[in-house]
Amino acid sequence: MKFGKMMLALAATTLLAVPAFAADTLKVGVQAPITGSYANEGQGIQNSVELLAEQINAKGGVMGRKIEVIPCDDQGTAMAAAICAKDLVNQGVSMVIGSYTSTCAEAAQKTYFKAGVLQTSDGTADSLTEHGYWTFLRNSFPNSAEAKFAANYMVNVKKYKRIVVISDFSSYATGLADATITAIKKAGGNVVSYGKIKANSQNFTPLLTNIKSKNPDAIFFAGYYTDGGQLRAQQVALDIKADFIGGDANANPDFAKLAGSAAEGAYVINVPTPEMLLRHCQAIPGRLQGQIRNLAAIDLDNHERRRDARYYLRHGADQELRYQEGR
Amino acid sequence: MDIFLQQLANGLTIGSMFALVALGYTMVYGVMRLINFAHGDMVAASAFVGLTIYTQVMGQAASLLAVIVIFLLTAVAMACVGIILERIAYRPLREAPRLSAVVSALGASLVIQNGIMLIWGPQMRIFPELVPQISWDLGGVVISLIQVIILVLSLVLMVALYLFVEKTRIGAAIRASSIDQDAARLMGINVNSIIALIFIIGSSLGAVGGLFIGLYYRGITFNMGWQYGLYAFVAAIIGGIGNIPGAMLGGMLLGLFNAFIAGYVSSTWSDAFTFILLIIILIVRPTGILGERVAEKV
Repeated sequence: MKFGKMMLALAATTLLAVPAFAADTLKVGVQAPITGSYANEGQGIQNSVELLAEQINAKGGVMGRKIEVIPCDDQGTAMAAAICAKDLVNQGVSMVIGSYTSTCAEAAQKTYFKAGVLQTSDGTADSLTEHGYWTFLRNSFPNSAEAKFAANYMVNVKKYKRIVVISDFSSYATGLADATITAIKKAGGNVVSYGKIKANSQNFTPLLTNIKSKNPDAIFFAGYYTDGGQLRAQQVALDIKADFIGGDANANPDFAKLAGSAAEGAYVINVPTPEMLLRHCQAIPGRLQGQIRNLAAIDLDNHERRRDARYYLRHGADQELRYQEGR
Repeated sequence: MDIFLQQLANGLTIGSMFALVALGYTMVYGVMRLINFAHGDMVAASAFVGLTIYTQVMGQAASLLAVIVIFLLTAVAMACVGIILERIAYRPLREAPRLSAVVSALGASLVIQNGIMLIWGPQMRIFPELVPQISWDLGGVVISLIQVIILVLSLVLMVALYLFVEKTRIGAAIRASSIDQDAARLMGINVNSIIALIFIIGSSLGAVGGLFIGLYYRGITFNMGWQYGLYAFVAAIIGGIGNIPGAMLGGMLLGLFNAFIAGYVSSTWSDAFTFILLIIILIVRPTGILGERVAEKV
C-alpha cells in the first residue's frame, strides 16, 4: 500500500514536472542603449519588445511558454555591451534582441556565440555577419547595400562633382563610410575629403571649416542622428552651400530638432518601411518611440517654433526621406 | 587666410565657453585649495534648468527678453544650488584632510549627474532655436549671431569679474582669503561668506556657460558635464589654477589650440594633443602660464 502510494506520488511528480517545465518562461534578452546619447532609440526598442511580449503572452505565449523580457542597458558603448552580454547569458536568456548600434552588437556577439544564444540586431555593419557566428541573425540590410544606393543617388541622380564623406569611429559609421567611398569611386564619382568626428563631441566647426575650403557640393554623413543634426546646423551656420545627405541612422525626429531651421533641405537615406509596420505604430501612438516611431510618418513636435515643418516619408523607388517646409 | 580667421573665430567661441566654466574651478581652488569636480555637472544641470524654465515657466515664449530672463533665472537657481552644495558637501570637510574633500567632490559630481538623469531622463534633450540662425559673411569668415552673443557676453562677464575682484573691497577680501584664511579672519573678514560668494559667482558663471552650450549646440545630455568640466579644468590648469585672468587666458588658449589642431592637423587627434599640451605646460611651468610662483618666506 505504502509502496503504491509512493509510486503514485512519483508518477504525479513526473507528470507534473513536464507541464511545470513547459510553464517555465522563455527568457528573451533586450540589449539596447537605454541611457546615453541613443537612449531615444534604445528605449524605443525596449518598449517595442515589451509591448510585443505582452501581446504574445496575452494570446498564450509561444508553445505554451510565456515570454519574459530581460532588458540590459549597453549605453551605446562597446564596454558596457560586453558586460551586458555576460549578464544576459548568466541570467539564462535563450535569445537576445539588440543592440541598436553595430558597435554594441559586435562587442557582444562572441559571448552569445559561445553560450549558443541567438542574437538579432538591426545593426547594419557588414562585419556583423563576417565572423561566422551561427548565432547571429541580421535583420536589416548591410551597409554595403545602403552605400551602393547612396553612391548611385549622389553620383548619377544628383550629379554631385565634389563629395565629402564624414563619419565617426563606430563600426556602423566607418563601415558605411568606407563602403560608400568605394561605391562612389566605382560609380565614377569624386570624393574630395574624408573626415572623422568623435561622436558626441558637439564641436564640428573646425572640421567643417576645413571642408569648406574643399568647396564640396555634397556632404555625406555616416553616423548617428545626435551628431548629424548638430553637424547640419553647424554646416549651415558656416554657410557651406553643399547638400547634406545622412545615412539611415539620421532618420530620427531629433535630427530635425537639433538642426532646427537648418534641417530644411537635408536628405536622409532610409530603409524601406513595410506598410504593416507603419499602420501598427500609428495605431498605438506614444507607446512606441524611437526605433519604430522614426519609420512612421509623423509630424515634428509642433510646440517648436517650426510649427509647419513636416517630416514625411516618400515611398518611392529612391526611398528617400526629406525634410521640407510645409504649406 | 580665410581658413585661419575662421578657425580663430571658432576657437574664440568655444574658448570663451571653456573660460566661463574654468573660472568656477579656479575661484574655488584659489580660496579653498579644492578642486570642485561637481562644477562640470553643475554646468550640465544649468542647461537643463534653463530648458525647464523656458518650457514650464516662460510658456515657450521666444524673444530676446525671454532669453535674458532665462539667463537670469538660471543663474540665480544655480547660485542657490552652489550654496547648498558648499554647505552640504564641502563645509563639513573644511578642516578634514584634502583627500576627503576631493572624494566628497567626486561624490557630489555623481549625485548631480544622476540627479539630472532621474529628473530629466537619460535621453538627449533638445534646446529650442531661441537665437535665430543668422550669420554674416565678413570676407570669407562667417560669424553667426549666437557666436557674437557668446563672445561679447563672456568678455563682459569676465571683465566685470576681474574689476570686481581687483577694485572692490569684497574683491580684496576674496584675494585676502585666497592668500591666508586665518589671517583674513583675524582682519575681520567672514571667510564663510566669502566662500559662499565664490560658489555663487562660480555657479552662476557656470550657468551662463551651460546655457551657451544649450543655445549653441542645442543638444544636451545628462553626462555632458564631464566632458566640458574636463576641458575647463585643463584650461584652469593651463592658465594657472587659482588665478582668475589665468582661467580666462587658459580657456581662450585651449579653445584656439583645439580649433587649430582640429583644423590643421587632425580632428581625431585634437583631444590627444590637448592633453599633450597640458603635460608639456605642467613640465615647463608647473604653476601654469599666469600662476604665481609660490615662494616660501621664512
